[in-house]
Amino acid sequence: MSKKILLAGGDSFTDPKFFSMDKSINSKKRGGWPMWPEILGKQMDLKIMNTADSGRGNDYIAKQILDKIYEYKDQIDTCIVLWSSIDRHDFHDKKKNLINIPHDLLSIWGQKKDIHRSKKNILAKAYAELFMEIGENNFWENILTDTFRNMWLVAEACNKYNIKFVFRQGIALLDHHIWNEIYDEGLICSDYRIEEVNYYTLCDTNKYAKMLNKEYKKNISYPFWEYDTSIVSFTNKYPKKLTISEMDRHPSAEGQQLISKYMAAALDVSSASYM
Amino acid sequence: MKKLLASGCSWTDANFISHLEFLPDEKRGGWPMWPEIIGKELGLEVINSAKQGRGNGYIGQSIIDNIIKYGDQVELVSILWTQVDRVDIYNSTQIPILQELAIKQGQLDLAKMLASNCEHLTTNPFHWTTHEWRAHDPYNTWNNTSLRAMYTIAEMCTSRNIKCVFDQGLIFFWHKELLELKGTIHEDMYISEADYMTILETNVLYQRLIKDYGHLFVKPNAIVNPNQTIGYFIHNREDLKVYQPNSKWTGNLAEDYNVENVDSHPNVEGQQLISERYMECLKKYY
Repeated sequence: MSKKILLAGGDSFTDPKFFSMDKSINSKKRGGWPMWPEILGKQMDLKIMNTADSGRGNDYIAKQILDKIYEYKDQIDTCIVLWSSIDRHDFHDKKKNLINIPHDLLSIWGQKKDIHRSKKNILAKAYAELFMEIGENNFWENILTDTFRNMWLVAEACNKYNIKFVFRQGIALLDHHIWNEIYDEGLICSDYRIEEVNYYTLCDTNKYAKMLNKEYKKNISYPFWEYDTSIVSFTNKYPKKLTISEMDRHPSAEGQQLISKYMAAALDVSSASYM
Repeated sequence: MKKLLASGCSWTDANFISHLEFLPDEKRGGWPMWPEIIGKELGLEVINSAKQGRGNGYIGQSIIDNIIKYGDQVELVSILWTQVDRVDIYNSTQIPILQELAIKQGQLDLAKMLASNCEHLTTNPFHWTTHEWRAHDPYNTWNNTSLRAMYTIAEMCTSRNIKCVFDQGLIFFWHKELLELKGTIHEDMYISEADYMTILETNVLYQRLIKDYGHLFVKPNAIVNPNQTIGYFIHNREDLKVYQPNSKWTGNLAEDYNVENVDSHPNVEGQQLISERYMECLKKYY
């Protein structure tokens, strides 16, 4: 029987092709090291299937994972996902169609010279205009439900095929600082403004989040919308050691090693439910 | 009371009413839609989340949300899937090919209507540069979105012992619509029917869906064979449509899509026929 699979998903924290945008540092320190799935896969003697892609949102992450589960089913031993933030959207599958709402808004309206965001992104432009003009009904509720539904669907699929799984939040589910900047700069129509406390209420009361907590508590780090449960909250505590540079807070080689240890420990806890 | 969860587009929408204002009210809508007919026959309470104009992404999500909401009370899931080229974005849906076709035919009201809910969210892919088009890979994305929704619902239903029946309402991908745009759109944005069928039939999700859950479809080949869809059948029967006098679905799209004179949604008899197809399949498999 061929080797079973470790299926991994996520954004730049997991992307095997990750390479830092910080040109001020030596190229050897910008990427090319083993990412956590590779380290973990080796330890567990599993074949790695890493679907992660830098900059992606949770919709894309879930779609890739679900497609692989539907395709390989029983061949998958373990599935680990480092989820991204809720304000990234992939309207079509290819990466050019990705929108990172806060970064695109700040970039398009000239507030930040974000070198890796293209002003030519037509969808981002359409979005920026939308945000300036009119409100979308239940915007925050919709984007939260989209992410939580995706997490739940992946959890259900893993459960159905007896795949061991662990979910963790990579970057924070929502970066309140950047949104506050957008509010304060008046870059968004007031219909979109959400107070932090109301955002947490939406998370707490979301039906999919509740079900994840009820049915898959061992597999997730609840409440995953709190910054303290995210991987980035840990790597940022020791930035010199665990992140690339002051300009780029992605995990360094050491950061990836640490994430793999953290995931291995999380897997041990969650696996107790499979014994 | 046990529940029947249904979803779809305008062919299933319980609030459907024809846009043809010259018709008497009783000819414009208000008749029982197929979920209501089936629900009555099976003694199930109908939860119908269908919405006019929506795509398969929305249809799938609305069913998932209701499976979660009603849990053990769900007895049956019945879905009349729609065409593949509808892009759901939050509360809006874009129908790029139809939208482009309406512009080409000078039916600006139709084009405006189709774009009204989504122009503020995104842009019509056919207006992108060819570079953007290639990068976004719309045909594969549209296929994957629909097929993934179908597979996910099938998985959820089987693992929860919920009976499940699918039918294809509108033709999954009606190439004739795209063909009308050939010469209008950039050649890189056009795909031949043979090439489209190749990308569909070699799609891993499609192959999995048919292998694992083909039996859930009223007609298992309906995704790849337009003749198997209920939409194709109804289009060719004047007596089953809301209004298209003295004419079958001609294939002349400018004529068939003339929104001022034509409404080819199923009428009361058309809805009855759809429900009969479902009942036949239900009896066969359950």
